[in-house]
Amino acid sequence: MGAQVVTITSGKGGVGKTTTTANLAVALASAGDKVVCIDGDIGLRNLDVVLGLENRIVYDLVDVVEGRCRLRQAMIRDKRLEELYLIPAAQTRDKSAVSPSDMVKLCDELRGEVDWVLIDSPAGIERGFRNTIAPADSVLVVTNPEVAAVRDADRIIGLVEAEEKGPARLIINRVNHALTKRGDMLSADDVVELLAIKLVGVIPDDENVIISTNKGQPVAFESKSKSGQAFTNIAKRLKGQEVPFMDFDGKDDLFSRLFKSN
Amino acid sequence: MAKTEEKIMIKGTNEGLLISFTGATWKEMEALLFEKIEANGPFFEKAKVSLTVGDARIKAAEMGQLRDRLSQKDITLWAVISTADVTINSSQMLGIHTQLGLKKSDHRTPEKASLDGDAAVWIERTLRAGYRVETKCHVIVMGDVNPGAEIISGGNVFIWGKANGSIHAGAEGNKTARVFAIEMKPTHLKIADITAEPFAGKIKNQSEFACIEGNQIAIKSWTSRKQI
Repeated sequence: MGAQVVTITSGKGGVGKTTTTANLAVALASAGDKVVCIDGDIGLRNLDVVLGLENRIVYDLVDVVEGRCRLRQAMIRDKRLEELYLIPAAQTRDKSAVSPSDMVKLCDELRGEVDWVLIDSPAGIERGFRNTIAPADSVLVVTNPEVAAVRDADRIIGLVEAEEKGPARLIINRVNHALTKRGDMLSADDVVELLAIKLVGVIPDDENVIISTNKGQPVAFESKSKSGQAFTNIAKRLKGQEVPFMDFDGKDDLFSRLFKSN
Repeated sequence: MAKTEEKIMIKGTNEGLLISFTGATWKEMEALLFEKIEANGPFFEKAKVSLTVGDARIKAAEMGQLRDRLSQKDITLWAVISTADVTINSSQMLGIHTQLGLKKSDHRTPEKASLDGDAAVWIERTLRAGYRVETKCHVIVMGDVNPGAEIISGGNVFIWGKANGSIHAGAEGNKTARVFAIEMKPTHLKIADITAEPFAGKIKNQSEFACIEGNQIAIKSWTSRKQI
């Protein structure tokens, strides 16, 4: 069997790829799975910051690829969760330091050892994107309910199909319920209608995400927050469980919690 | 050695290097190409390369791999020219050109006005942002044309879905070309050399078609088709 390699990508920058990667990793590891996340954004690394592991970096992805260390040595173990590891990106190099075939080799090495490999893709559709797509078994596309982000997501979904890694699945991040209700923002349904791929998660616009990201303590650690819950639900869906989508109105909260508990 | 020379031919054009293969399988082509590149390193550096592959059937993933391998050597895969539908589809999916210099043929005398019996390109999926279909044939899309996708057709364009992208019918000067769609709201619409006014109105909930009337583009409901 071996690990599932999942790449998180978006095309547009700033929609929440890194936050999503960090939170899904935490949610999966909390459920007892062994997870490695790889920061694919070489030259602009930040997954380590979001996970709060920045000061523990010794070796990075490029060191592994260029043979300066063993894969094991570059895997930073999270102290909060036994089964969570990070392979950070190099800060001083750029995307061309790694090739798609390097990434495939690296992930193949990990397959036997862990349950999940989550790869955080850089923005854009160039070399960095292709590096992170090459080893993927499946692809998650993150977008915001904004026309520009949706357009880029559409392009990315097409590219993923072309690389025969499709069909990609969709995560809609930063959905503002009040704005959607007033008709001032695309709704999750509008986005799904245009992109026409399977939806695996809707994450509400939540200031806790920003606060926790700055602290290096992903929201998925606290299952009480709505956004944390949303990430936990995505993790469950990735594992093949049927989880109903949350209602952000907050009315049937108790009901849905009762439902989830069994 | 002589045999190799027959199978691969390299020609410089103003659109980069045109590399033609005859009677080789895809694997052989790849091998031959990289053999040439290894042998003449600097010649290929930063080159824009177009491949003529005859009727070889190349899947998108294979073509993508080649593009990646070439880009590692600083070579751009610009176009893959083929007569096989599979290969043309692959190129279109990856945004690689399928022919050279269609634009330049604008000044040529348009081909026969009647399009009877002409071939069509059949596309059974949604065209997403960044896809570009460029062909002298008619185009039939079973799916939506999303914003950011582009169709340039020498003939008619038929969209069994939403037309939200950029559409140019009769691109070689055929003014009788038409565009059909279940939901007509293209970002750009052009027939022959006439560009439509930007769409401002609401989407009508009915299938429509666009054609040239007088000197501008008219959008008509399908039910008024007697006027075709």
